[in-house]
Amino acid sequence: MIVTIAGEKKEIEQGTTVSRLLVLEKVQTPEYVTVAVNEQFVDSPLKSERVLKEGDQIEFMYFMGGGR
Amino acid sequence: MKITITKEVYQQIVDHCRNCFPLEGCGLIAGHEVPGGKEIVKAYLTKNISESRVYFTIDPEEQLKAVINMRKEGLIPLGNFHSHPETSADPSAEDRRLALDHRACYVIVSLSDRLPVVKCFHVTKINDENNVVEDEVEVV
Repeated sequence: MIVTIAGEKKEIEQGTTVSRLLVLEKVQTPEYVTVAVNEQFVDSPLKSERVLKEGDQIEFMYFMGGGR
Repeated sequence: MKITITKEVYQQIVDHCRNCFPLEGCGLIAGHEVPGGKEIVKAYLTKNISESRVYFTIDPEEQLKAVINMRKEGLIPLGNFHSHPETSADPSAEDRRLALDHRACYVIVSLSDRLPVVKCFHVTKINDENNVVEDEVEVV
């Protein structure tokens, strides 16, 4: 099935979860990454349960902060 | 890597950081990837939810709204900016540690002198350590 990941259309297998997608996309330090599907955040505990669907739009957003 | 930034966006970023002073100001940058570099054509001025003179955190809700807007406008997220109200425009140890996105540009605005100093960095991973590389910045 086709989904949009960070603005790019990609084919993924049926049944792919958000957690699995983080692995497939080789997202580094996933513990610092917030995921949104169709403009809604996916709570971290639900990443392994949330199954993606055809046409979903997924954004990975790194924590953005810093300091001295 | 060469980073170009429009005068208008450069001024927006500096003004926002000045308006946030003495707290750190922050926001997101968007634009295009081009051969050999990136073009910053839009800034998203966000709240520093750390409300600190030495730390910044961009609100994830604001980040998501900005990214949605970027997609609609055909822009790509390029990274973020933040200010150092009282220190140089070089990344701190914490900035380096939290530079998690290796595709991102990290713009730092120093307000420690009369005139602002703006630098841009990206990060590469060497032996599990974040190695910070300064980019050439051109205001166009």
